[in-house]
Amino acid sequence: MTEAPLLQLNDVTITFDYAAGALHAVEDLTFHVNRGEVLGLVGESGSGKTLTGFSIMGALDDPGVVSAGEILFKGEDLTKMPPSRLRALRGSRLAMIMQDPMMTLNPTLTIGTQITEAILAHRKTTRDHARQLATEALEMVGIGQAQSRLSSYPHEYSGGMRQRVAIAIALLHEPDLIVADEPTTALDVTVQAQILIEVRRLVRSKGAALIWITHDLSVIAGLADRVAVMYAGRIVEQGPTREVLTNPRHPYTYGLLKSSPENEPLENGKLWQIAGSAPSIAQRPEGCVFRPRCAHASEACLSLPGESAGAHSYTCWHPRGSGSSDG
Amino acid sequence: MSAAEARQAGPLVQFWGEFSQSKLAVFGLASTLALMLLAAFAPVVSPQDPYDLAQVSFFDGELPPLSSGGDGAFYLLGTDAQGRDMVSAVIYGLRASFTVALSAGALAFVVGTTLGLIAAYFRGTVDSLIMRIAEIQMSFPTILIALVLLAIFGRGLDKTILALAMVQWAFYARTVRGAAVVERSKEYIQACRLLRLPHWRVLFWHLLPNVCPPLLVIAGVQLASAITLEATLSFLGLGLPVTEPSLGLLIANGFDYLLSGKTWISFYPGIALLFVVVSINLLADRLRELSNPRLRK
Amino acid sequence: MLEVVFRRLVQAVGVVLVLTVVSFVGVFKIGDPIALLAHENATELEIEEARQRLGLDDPIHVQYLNYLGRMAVGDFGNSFVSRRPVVDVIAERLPATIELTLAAFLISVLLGIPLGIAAGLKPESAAAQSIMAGSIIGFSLPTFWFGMMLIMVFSVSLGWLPSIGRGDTVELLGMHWAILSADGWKHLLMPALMLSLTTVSLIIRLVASGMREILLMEYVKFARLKGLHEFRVVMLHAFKNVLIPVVTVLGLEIGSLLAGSIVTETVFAYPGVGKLLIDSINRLDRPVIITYLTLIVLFFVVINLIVDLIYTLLDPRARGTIR
Repeated sequence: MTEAPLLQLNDVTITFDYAAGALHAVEDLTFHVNRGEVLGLVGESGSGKTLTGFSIMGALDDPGVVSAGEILFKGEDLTKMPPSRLRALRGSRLAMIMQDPMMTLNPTLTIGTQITEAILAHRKTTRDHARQLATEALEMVGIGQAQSRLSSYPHEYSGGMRQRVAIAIALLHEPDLIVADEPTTALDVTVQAQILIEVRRLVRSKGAALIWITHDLSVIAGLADRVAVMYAGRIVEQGPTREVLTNPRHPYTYGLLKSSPENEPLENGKLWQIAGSAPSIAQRPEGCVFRPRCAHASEACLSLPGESAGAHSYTCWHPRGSGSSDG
Repeated sequence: MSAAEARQAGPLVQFWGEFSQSKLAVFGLASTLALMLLAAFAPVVSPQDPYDLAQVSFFDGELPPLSSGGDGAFYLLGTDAQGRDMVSAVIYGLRASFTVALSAGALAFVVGTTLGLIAAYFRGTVDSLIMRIAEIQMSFPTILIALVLLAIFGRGLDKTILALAMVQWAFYARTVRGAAVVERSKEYIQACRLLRLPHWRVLFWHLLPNVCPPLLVIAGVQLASAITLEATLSFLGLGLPVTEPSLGLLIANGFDYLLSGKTWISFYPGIALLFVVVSINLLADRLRELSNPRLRK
Repeated sequence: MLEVVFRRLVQAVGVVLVLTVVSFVGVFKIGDPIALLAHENATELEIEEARQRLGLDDPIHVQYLNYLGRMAVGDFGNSFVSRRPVVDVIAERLPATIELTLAAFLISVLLGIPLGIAAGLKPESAAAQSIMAGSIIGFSLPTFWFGMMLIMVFSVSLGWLPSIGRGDTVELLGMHWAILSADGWKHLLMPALMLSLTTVSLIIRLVASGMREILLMEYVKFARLKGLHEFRVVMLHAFKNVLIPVVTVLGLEIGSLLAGSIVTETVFAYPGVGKLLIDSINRLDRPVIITYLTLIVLFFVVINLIVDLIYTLLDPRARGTIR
């Protein structure tokens, strides 16, 4: 009997309850993350990956709610937790790093205030000691002269430095789980690589679990232990990174890999791409969500495929490598 | 509807579709139009001409609402001290208020828009001179400036219109300049300048139509504020003369009777005034909402 | 920073000078005060004498320069009507207006900000909708009529509050203050409410729309993700950012309240400087009008300056970039 996963989502559905009707943004999501593990959550924009991140933090914006399923963190269901308990976990056991570093820090408060308040929210200590800890936190993410920089405002920091501050805040209380929502996309390529390596090092050294949300499979390759691929609000394939990347079973994953800019361009010099475009949240098809764009679609695909068993699972009636030809 | 017709009607129909999503705004538009019609046809629709002494019976003075006069006339909203029917007085008051506000608004619109366009188009000294004056003027409350101007000009319909226009031109000028500066840098205006079209043609033919949406919003807001401002000035005894009472002056006249419990003389003109201003503001609010993409739902 | 302040001060002095010229020339045109001042059977000689005594027969630029020269040493001349120094006439009316304006300002802040926050937090709720509807009506209500309706309800019908004057006063620092007496408070309540009406509505709308916008910002979400209490998220992270434009507007609203007090004081026969101005305009009391206008221009310029400085203090991004 193995240890229960740190985080386990079971059949989670996220619904937007509008006056005009309810829309399901994410449906039947089931995945888990173990301690010390990095999970890559991959999908296009609009696939529901960011919402999934926020739902784990218990911080969905109105009118979004987890309308079905459970989110078990250390065996406790986050969706049924009283707000005060959830707040106590948020920022301490659960942390999130958001996408745009230029927007995540409050422009009217000093960096010092924004770090110390995060410390004092979860720890009874003096203001001076909190400042001391804040200095250390900044040093840990490689910001020099941390002491004096505490009294600076966000606009005096560069984008890369702001993201380091956000990371420092996320790591303050050595959280068990960190959700990182494309934290590097808004940054320079050189800074991106640096932050990627640093976050991974910090996570490994503290034994935390990390969910790295991205649209870029190539980022995942060197970072994640396992990967879950989302399309139109559903997980279409998940498993150990190496297996999923080298032997994708779902046509969408295959298409995503094939259209990666690192691949050889086609004869006409263009990149390969999946036909059509992802459906909007209000216009998702019946049955398999990928059906309208899939070369292998058949009658069977009009009904929703179940998830296959095993560590490398997929939801497809016609998985690749099971007799059918290439797409 | 043919395809061509549909395309032509397109923006207007689409605008109406969005506008009419707010029931309050539709109400505002309808009642503003109705009130304007009422004011325009005051001599036709009101029971009596309150300023024709032959029609007013002095002996019917200070009658409460729903009473009948000596000659059998019925007064729905009562009469004032001179025996004028309040319904008629309110309708004529509405007419005076709209006359002042619309004339002042039109004058301010023309002057402000022209100066704003000139400032944006020529930039440099002209721009800073015009905008500096507008800026200084707008740092003072409109009521204060209008009050001082009327103290200098003296009472009168024409003088009140002039004073209100002098207060309001700056709002048009600032709005137009802001929008026009953005437009000016676009290619089509650059092209006009390269073609050496006459300045006035570029200004009014090419630039003006493109700064219209924000102007519409300002015009609504300023119309409402002109009506309130005129009423306030008349109340202070600085606006219209007693021979042409607007709603504000009617209220002021009723003030003396308020303390003795004859509330209707100032109450109903006040309700009418409130109704006018709320209607226009509802309309202007919606226009502002639609012109600001951030507030759009 | 000091250099910036100095430059702004020089600009301000320029504005004040220009506006005194404008108001002086304007008031000069109002009419002949002698016609109103002289008693009915005054002789030609008496009138001529009065004209000379008041300096009315000098050319306008001489009158203006004389006026500037005297003003520089704090002499604003005598009122044509009461024959007393204008400074004294205004000074004895000033406490009433200060009390009224401050009371209205406090009401605006204490009512407008909480209601605005409440309406901005849950814009779809019934409470928020009615607050916003109320603010539209408050915005549209002609203030003088609102004051009259207050009188109708609280003085005429209920008989709870007095409708005229400012009541008993208590002397402090050589000035008479009504807020030091219970009677004064009763007299102040309705005028202050009337005066604050527009400002309250404005602040509600400003705070509510600011709240709605700021609450959607990423940094507010991030503050929540840090596990902060919702109160701190709303009041510090969101509200501080909402406050920046609100403080600017509030500062400028002090000026609007002062101007509005002219109307309020007329409705409630409240003996402040606003009522004094209207009375002086009706009696062509030039020195009082000119002095009032000069003082109010000075006041506005100072207020604008202070608001700019406060804005710089509140918004760190504006520091160092102020023109």
